[in-house]
Amino acid sequence: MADTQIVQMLVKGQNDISWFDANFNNLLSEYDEQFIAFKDKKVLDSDPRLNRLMEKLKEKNINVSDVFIEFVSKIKHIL
Amino acid sequence: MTSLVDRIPLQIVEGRLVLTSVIECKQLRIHRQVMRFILDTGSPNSYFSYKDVIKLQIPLAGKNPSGQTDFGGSRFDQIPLPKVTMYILKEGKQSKDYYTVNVSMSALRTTKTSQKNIKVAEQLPSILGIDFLKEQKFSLHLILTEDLAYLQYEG
Repeated sequence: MADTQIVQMLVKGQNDISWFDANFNNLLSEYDEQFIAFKDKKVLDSDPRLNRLMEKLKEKNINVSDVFIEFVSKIKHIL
Repeated sequence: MTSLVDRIPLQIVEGRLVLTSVIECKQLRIHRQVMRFILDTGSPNSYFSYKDVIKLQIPLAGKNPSGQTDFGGSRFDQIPLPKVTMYILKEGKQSKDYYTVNVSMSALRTTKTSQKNIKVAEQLPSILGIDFLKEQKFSLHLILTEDLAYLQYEG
């Protein structure tokens, strides 16, 4: 039997990724060249430096297990 | 016709194929974290990015690399990891269900020392390469004219 917590995390995760994609241009205008932490279709915090963002999340007692952290930039990397 | 229950949906985000998963690994003390992976058929191997190594708090200090790799214009040490359990959503008609797979991953550790170059290295995403598709017996299906992308189990 499927673990409902896992299913919920997966569905919410997909919804958050869809939100990120749909709102990328808006996020770019506000957070260009910054790392953003987002969950439940909301930006929780942001910072140009990843380690500072992690510190901010820790100070706010935010559990990062279901938070996405992505870098927002006009520049696309070729992988 | 292939049953929908066999499909694992991928999302197309900023022109890239994204697989959302929940991962866990007792040996690395990772307990159920949601993760986004880019499916990269140009990579033979699968990697946790330097950003996600930091987020997941994977300890890499003192670990010897198995080699080096160039990724996204940056050079990284490649640190082999214990297998990671990954839960990925299946597409079903009636209810949501998931596959459970055990995945071989390496961690990427930047070789850069300047803050500017470290920041570039931190921007890169975690990727699932060809090894993931082969090891888990998944085929990749893309119909970009319909904005459709999915994996299918072929085992």
